[in-house]
Amino acid sequence: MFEFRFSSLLKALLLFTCILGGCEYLSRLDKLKAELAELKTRSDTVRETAELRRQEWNELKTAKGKLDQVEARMAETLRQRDILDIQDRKLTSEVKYWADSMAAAVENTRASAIGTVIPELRLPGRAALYNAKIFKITDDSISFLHEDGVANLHVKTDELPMEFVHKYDLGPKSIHAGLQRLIGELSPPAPSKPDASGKSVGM
Amino acid sequence: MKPPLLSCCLALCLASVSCERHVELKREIAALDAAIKRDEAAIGQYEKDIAALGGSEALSRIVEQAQIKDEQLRPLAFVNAPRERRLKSIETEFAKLKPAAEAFKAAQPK
Repeated sequence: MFEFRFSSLLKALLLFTCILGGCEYLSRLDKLKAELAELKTRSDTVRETAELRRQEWNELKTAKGKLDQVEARMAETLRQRDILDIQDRKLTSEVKYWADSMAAAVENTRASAIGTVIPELRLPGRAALYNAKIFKITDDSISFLHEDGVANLHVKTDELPMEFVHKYDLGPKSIHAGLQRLIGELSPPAPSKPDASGKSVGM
Repeated sequence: MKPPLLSCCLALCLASVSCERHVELKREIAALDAAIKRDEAAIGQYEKDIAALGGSEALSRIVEQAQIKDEQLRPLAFVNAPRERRLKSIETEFAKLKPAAEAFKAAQPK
């Protein structure tokens, strides 16, 4: 006669479930391990690529930073050069104006002095000149006609009284000579200068 | 304890251990996945930045440009400083001469 043995069936079922569960567990474990290994490989590759890109970017950034710095310095230098150009032009025109104006004034003063008679001209270390008449004034001397003949008095040897030196703007320290010297200093031979694009431009 | 109950307990223990192992692996996978995504995002950003500067081949061009500009800059900077000093000295000299010239002109006969 058939007898139902519950405990044996349960044991068999349990055993079957355990085997199935074990298989499923191992299968899923394998899948996860494979996925993990693949991800690790991919992660290494991606990290290496990222590192390469980072290095590339850093090099580019450094080079660009240097270029920007040089360009900024270049712009500043060109700006300074433009300011100096403006300053130079302004100063040159002003000095030229005053030099021309002074030249005319000096010429006028000297011309109007021709023929002036000085009753007594006392000179250091020399005999006094009487009724000295101015007949020529140059940049560093005045020629007089006087009772005893002709006297040509020079500024350089300090023969002329300072009053005349100032009045007729004579000598190397004269205002007119100073202005002319400044014009000479303002117009030195111009060097060729590169523009912003780097081409050489003659002035 | 009866054997069926013991078996049940054993099975539950095994199931719990296996689940825990899976969870650990999944966590590792998720962490790796996140790291990959982060690196990929960084690569994308770097590539975008590199492209904005003209691409990988722009490096040599930029370096060359910087060298050229540097070479242009040197003589310019060398010229500006002495020129500024020269103008300053002329300006000072002119500032002395101008009042003297004005006085001379004012004193000249009309």
